[in-house]
Amino acid sequence: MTAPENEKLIPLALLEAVLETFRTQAQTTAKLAGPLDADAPRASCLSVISLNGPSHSGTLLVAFPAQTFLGLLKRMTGEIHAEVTPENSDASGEFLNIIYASARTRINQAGFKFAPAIPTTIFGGDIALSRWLSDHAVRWNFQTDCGPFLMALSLKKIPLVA
Amino acid sequence: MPTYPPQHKIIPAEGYVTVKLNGELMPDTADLFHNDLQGLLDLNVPVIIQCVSLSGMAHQWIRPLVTLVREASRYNLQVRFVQVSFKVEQYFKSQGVDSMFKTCPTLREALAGMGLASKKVIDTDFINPFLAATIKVLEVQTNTKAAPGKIYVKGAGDKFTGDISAVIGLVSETFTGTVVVSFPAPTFLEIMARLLSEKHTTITKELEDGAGELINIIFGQAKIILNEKGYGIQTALPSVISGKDHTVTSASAAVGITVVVPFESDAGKFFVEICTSG
Repeated sequence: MTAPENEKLIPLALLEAVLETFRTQAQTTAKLAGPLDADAPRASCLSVISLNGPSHSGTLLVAFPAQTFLGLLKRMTGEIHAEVTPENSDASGEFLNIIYASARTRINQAGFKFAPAIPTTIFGGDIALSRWLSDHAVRWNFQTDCGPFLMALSLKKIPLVA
Repeated sequence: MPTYPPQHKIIPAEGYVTVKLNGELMPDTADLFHNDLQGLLDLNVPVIIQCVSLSGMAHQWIRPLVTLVREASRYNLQVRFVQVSFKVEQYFKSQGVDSMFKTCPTLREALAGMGLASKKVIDTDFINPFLAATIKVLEVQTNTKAAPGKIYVKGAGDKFTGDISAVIGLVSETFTGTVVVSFPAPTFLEIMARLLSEKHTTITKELEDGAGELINIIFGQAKIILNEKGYGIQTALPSVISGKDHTVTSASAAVGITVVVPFESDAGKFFVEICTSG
């Protein structure tokens, strides 16, 4: 078995999926913003999903400050929520699910064979993402008219066994 | 044999029939679905509306779906909408049909509700290696003695909070899932003090790496045992999240089963959450 060569396609497919997802689900245009501060970003709601294929594995994470998340949620469902709750935080995982499902189709067409996965969502008043993000992941800072959010991708090649 | 448009597909199964809905259901395909309803009801079996690939629907689709549920009820047949997304569920609510369209998070649960399958139980063969690995890794790496409390299935109202959590994804040929190890700050700081032989009073970025390392080792140990049993698990990279009293939820709670294992240790309490679907 040989690993697909064009692994740059993975972040590109994810980026396109982010733009498309927020355009269709939340009627907002997500734009890549400038470089991130050195300090770890703070979020109120984040979701993580595992990327697993025979040649690559990794993690995809999306993190929202409360105001951004509640704004996007209003756009998505039409409902106004004052705070992030166990019930409405599901939408964060839903966003990530849609992003990954959409990107996975394109990624797998290139032969990566990523498996379906389920997101885990974490919410709280003031969540910090670990240094792991700086050391092992590509981070993208997005700006929308509901506020900023962050996406991070870590990816590693799995050594092939002869 | 009739052919169906790709937006809906009728798939007879043993004791029930599945209607698979795909993508964004367009207005002009609603009539085609309506035309298939009588044939569907003539099968005289319960109906599963599989919505896992359904992203949305035009309002024209509500009418035939309501007709299906009503007609099925006349025939004493049950209809369940399975794996409905948050967005579609909200749409049902906005159309006022959420109480009529009975949803189930999993096919198994829907079939169990119809008396066609047994309810899912905890697979202890799967859970136990994680418990054993947690106990062993904490003892070997940090000289911490930990004991699992009563294992239980997490319900919708159950809420566990932690101050630092490590999350790692599980993927195998038959299921996907997540393992979360979550510590209150005092427990984590004590474990790290034992691991590093130095005291810390707050969770620093360097210490967060420790949580990721611990779950990596725990997962690695459990994976060896599980793969010897034929589970065929692949690894992902851990994510570490810190923040006072954060809560962890998993989408697998909606599509599968989430097991919580509270631990008591001589460094304090913590918990392990294992979510699987499939």
